[in-house]
Amino acid sequence: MLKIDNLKVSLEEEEKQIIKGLSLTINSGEVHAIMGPNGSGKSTLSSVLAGKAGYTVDSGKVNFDETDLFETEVEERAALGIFMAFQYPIEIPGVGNMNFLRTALNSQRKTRGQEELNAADFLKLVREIAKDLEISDEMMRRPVNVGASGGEKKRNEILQMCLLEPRFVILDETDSGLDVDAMKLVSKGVNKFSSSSRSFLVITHYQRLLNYIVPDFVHIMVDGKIVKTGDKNLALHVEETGYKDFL
Amino acid sequence: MNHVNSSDWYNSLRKEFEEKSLSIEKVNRRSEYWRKSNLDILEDFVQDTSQLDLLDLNGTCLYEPDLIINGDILELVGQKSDQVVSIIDVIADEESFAKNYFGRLEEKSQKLIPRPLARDNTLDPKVGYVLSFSDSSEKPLIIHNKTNTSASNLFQRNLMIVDKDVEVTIIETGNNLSVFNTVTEIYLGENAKLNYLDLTGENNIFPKISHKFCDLAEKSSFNHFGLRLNTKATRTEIELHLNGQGINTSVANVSLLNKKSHYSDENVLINHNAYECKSRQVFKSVLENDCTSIVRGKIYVASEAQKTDGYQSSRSLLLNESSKFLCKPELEIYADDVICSHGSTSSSLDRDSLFYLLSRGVHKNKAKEMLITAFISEALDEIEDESIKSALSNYIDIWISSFSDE
Amino acid sequence: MTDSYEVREVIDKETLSAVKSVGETYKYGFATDIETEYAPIGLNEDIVRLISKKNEEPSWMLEWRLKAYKRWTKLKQPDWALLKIPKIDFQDQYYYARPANMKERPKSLDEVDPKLLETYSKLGIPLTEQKKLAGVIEENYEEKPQDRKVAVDAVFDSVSVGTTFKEELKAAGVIFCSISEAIQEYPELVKKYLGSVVPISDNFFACLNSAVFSDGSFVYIPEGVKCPMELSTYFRINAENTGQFERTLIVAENNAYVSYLEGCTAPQRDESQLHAAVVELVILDDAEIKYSTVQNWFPGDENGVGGIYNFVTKRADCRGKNAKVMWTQVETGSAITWKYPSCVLKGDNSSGEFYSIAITNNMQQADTGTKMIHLGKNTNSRIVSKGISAGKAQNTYRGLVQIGGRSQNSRNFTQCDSLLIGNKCGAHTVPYIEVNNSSARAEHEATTSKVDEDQLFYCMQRGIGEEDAVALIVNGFCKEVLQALPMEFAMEAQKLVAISLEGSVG
Repeated sequence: MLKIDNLKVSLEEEEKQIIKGLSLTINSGEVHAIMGPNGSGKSTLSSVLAGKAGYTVDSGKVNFDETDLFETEVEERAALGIFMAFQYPIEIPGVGNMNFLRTALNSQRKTRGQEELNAADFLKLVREIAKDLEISDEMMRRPVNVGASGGEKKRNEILQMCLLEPRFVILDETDSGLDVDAMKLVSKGVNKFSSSSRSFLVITHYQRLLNYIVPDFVHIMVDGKIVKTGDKNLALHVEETGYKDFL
Repeated sequence: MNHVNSSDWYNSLRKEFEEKSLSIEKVNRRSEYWRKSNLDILEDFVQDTSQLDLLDLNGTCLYEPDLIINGDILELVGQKSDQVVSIIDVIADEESFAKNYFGRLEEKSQKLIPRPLARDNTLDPKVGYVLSFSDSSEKPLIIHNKTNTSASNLFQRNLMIVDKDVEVTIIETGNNLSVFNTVTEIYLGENAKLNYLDLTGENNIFPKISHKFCDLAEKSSFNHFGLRLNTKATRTEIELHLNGQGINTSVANVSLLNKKSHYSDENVLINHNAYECKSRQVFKSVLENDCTSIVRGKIYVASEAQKTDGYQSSRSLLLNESSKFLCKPELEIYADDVICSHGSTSSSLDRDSLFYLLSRGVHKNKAKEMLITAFISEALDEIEDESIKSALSNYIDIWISSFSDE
Repeated sequence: MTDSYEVREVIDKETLSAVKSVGETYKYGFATDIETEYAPIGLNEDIVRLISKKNEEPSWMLEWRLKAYKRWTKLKQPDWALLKIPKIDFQDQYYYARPANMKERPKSLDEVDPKLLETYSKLGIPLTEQKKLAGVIEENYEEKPQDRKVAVDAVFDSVSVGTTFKEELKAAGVIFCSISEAIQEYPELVKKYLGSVVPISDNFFACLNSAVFSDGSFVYIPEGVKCPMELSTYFRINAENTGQFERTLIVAENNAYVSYLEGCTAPQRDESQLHAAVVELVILDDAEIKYSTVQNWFPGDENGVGGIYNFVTKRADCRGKNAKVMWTQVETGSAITWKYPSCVLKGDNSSGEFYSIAITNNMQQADTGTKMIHLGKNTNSRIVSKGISAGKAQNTYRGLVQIGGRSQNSRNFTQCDSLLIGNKCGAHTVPYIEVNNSSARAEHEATTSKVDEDQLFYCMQRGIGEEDAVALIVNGFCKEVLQALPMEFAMEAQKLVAISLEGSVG
C-alpha cells in the first residue's frame, strides 16, 4: 500500500537534514509502529507523508499504491485515503465542527466521483460515531477543536478518521497528553475501525499505546533512520531499557 | 543667508532644506498629527520659577552626569571627552565625517509624517553634540540638560553613531527652563545596540519637544524608554527605520501626571522595511487633575518586510473626572506574513482589585499605589538592564507614594 | 439528543456550494435593456431644479436642495482616506435617470413594467408580496422559520419602482414608501427629520446628495409599534454613466422597533459609476433600529476597470434614553468604498453597535469603519470589524470612539481584525480613541495576520480543496458579524464572502 524508498528530507529554512535515508513498506491490513527518542524525525515523517509545507524532499520516493505521493496535493492525498491524526489538533475558531466534517467528507467524495451525502444520512453517521467515542453534542456544536481539552481533541481526531474512512492512517503521537481512560477510548475507536484493507502507522515515544493498538511491526527510528525492526516485543524491550541500546 | 561660521556643505544643505520645507505641512489644529494636541506648548510662556518647589529628577539624583549641556554651552564632566564633538564645530568643519549623516534622517522621516519643528531645528541648531561609539561600555553615558531661562527656543541638535557590534546605554536627564526643541539623529551599525532612557521630571516646567530619528542596520537593536514624571508638557516624535533583517526594537513610555493640566504627547512611527524584524511599543499613562496624554503609535510594514512581528499597547489609568486620554494606534500593512496587533484601554482604577486589597487590610493610599505600580510595570519591563530598571522603579515608587499622600 | 447543532451549519454548506455553482465572479453584472430618460449631463442649479420638478416636490424641498448645492460648490472633496481616488469629473455624470415608462408613478406593482420586475427577480428579489426573500432554505432547520415577511422597496437608478406590503404595514401604522412619495404625502415628518442627523453641509458627498438625491426610502414607526415584518430596500444602478444618490430616512418613535435591510448591485460596465448615499436614523426613547447592508456593487474587473465609487454617509442619532441602534454591514462590492456608519449616543443609556465585514479583492479599495460619539450617560458601544484583503486590494478600518466629558460610566469595546491573503494587498487600521472622563471604559483590540497555515493544512489534510478551505476559514473569521445579520442576509452574505474571494488563492 505505502512504499517509502530511501527518503531524505530537510527542513526548508534551515537546510538541516532530518530524515536521512528511510525505507519502509506497509501492506494492507498491517499495523506498523515507529518508536524513537525525541528529535529522531518521527513527526517529520508523518508531516511529509501528509504533505505539510516547510520540508524539502532531498531524495527518495514515496508511493501510495501506484501514486507518487510527492506529485499530489495535500487534499488529494486525503481523498486517496491518507489520514493523519495530528499530535496537536488545530483549532479553527468560527468554523463549526459539523460544518467542517461535512465539508471534508463531501469534498473527498466529490474528488472520488462519489455522490455527496445528504444532511440526514450525514447526521446519522456522525451521531453513531460520536456516541461510540463518548463525544458530547455540546462538543459537536463547538467550532473545530476550540475550547476542547487534550483528550477531547484526540477523540475528535478519531471521530474524523471513522467518518472519513481512510485506508491509511497515521497516528502521530496520539497518546501524548492522554490519561489511561482516554487512551483506552481512543484505542477502542481505532481497533473498531481497523480491517484487512486498512493500514496504520503509529508514531509514538512510549510503548504504552501499543498495549492497546497492537502492532505487527515495530521500527526503532534514530537520527532519521530506522535502526531496528522487530515485532511487538521490541517495543517492550524499549520500554524496559530505553533507547540507549540504539544510540 | 549663510549661518555664521558654517561650512559650505552645511550652507548648501540648509538652502536645500529650506526650500523643501515649504512642502512640509505646518503645525495646525486640523493636521492629522496635531489633532487635539496642545498647541500652546509651542508658545514661549514666562513663568516665575523662584517659587517652585521641585521634586527633582536630575543627573545628581540617579546618576552622575558625564556630559552637561548648560544653555548653549557643552560641558564635559566624565572621561569620555574623546567621543564628543560640538555640533556647532561640526557644521563649521568642511571635512567633518558628519556631513554624510547630518539632516539625512530628518529628511527621511518627513516622508510619512510632516515634522515642521524638526525642520526648523535643522535650519538653526544652537547647541548639541556628535557622539560616536566604537567600543561597548557597561556604564551608561549620562547626559544632563541644564537650560536656563535666558535662552528661548533653544534648538538642540545631536547626532549619534554606534558602530557595528557596539552596545551602549544613554540616560538623558535634566531640566527645562525654556521651550526646548531637540532633534537627535541616530545611526546603528550591524548588530549594534542602543538603550536610550529619556527621563524628565517636574523640573521640566517648560515644554520639551524632542525628536529622535533612528536608522537601524541588520540585527541591531534600539530600546527607548521615556519617563514623564509630572513634566509640564512634552511632545515626543520618534521614527525608526528598520532596514536590515532581524532587528529588534522597543519603545516604551510612562507618563505619570497629576499637576494641573500637565500634558504628554507621544508619537511613534516604526517602519518595518526588512525581513523578520520585531518591534514593541508600550505606553502607560496615569492621569489626574485635568492632565492629558496623547499617544499616536504607528506600525508601517512594507511589502518586503515579511515575518514582521509588531506589537503595540497603549493604556491609561484615569484617576479623576477631568483627565483625558487620546490614542491613535495605527497599522499600515503591505506584507501578508506578519503578526501585528495593538491593544488600547482606558479606565479608572479597577474597583474589584481595590476592594480586594482593602479587604485584606491594605490602606487606601497604599492600595492605590500598588495598583498604579502594577499598571506601569509592563512598560518598565521593557528596560533590559536590571540595575537601571530597579533604580528607576524605586525612584518611581517613592514618587508615587508622595503623589498619593497629597 | 437534539438537532440544534445543525442549525447554522446548513448556511455554511450553502456557502461552499455557492462557490461552485456560481460560474462568473460577479453574477449581478447583467444590464437591463430598458428605455431610460436622463436629465442633461452635468450639474448646475437647473439640474437641481429639474430633479425637484421631476419628483413634483414642494418649494421648501427645492430651496433645501438649492441651499445644499450652493454649499457644495464651496466644498472640497476630502482626501484624508487611505484611498487612491481617480479624479472624478462631477460635470461628466448624469444626475437623474429613470425608466421612461415610470413617468407616471405606478399605483400598484401590477402596473410596473414586467422587464423591471424581471430584473429584480433575476437578482433574487421578487417584487411580489410573498413571504420570504428567495434563498431561504427551510430544510434541516430545527425551528422552522416563522412566517417571515419582508417588505421591499426597489430603487432602480433614480426612482423607486415599487414597495410591497404597503397596505399591511399601513394597518400597523408603519409608513414605508419611497422618499419622493414621503415628501409629497408626509411633508411635516420629512421636514422635521430630514437633515437633522446628517446636516446639509456635513461633508462633501453628503452635501452633494442633499442637492441631487432623487429617491430612496422613508420609514416611520409610530410610538409603541414593533414593525410586523422586516423592511428592505434594494438598490440597483442600471443606466450608464449615472450617479445614484439615494436618501434614506428612518424614524423610530418612542418604544418602536424596526429591522431594515439594504442590498445593492450594479451591472458590469467599463466606466466607473458614482454612488453617494445618505442614510439618517432617528431613534427616540426606548426605540430600536437594526440596519443591515449587503453591499455588492460591481467591484470593477481584476484590472481595476469600472466599478462603483461608493461614498456613503450613514448616521444614527440615538436621541432618546435607552435608544438602541445596530449597524451591520457586509461590504464586498464597489471599486472604492468610503463609508463610516456612525452612532451619536445622546440619550442616557443609549447603545450603538457596529458589525462589519469588508472584503476587498483584485484592485478594490475600501476605507470603512464607524464613529461612536458618546454624549449621554451610561452609553454603550461595541465595534466588531473584520477586514479581508486579497489580490492587490487595499483595506482600511478607520474608526473613532469618542467619550465626552459628561458621558459618565460609558463603555466601548472594539475588536478589529484584518486578514491578508497574498502579498500584494494591504490591510490598515486607523482607530482614534478619545476618552475624556475617568468613569468611562474603552477597550480596543486589533490584530492583523494572514490565513493561518496550520488551519489551512488541517482542512486540506481532511480533503478540502484550498479555495474552499480559505472560504471556510474566512467565514469562520467573520462569524461574529455574519451572526448579527438577519437570517436571509446571513446566507446571502456567506455566499458573497466566498464568491468575492474567488481567484485570490494560488
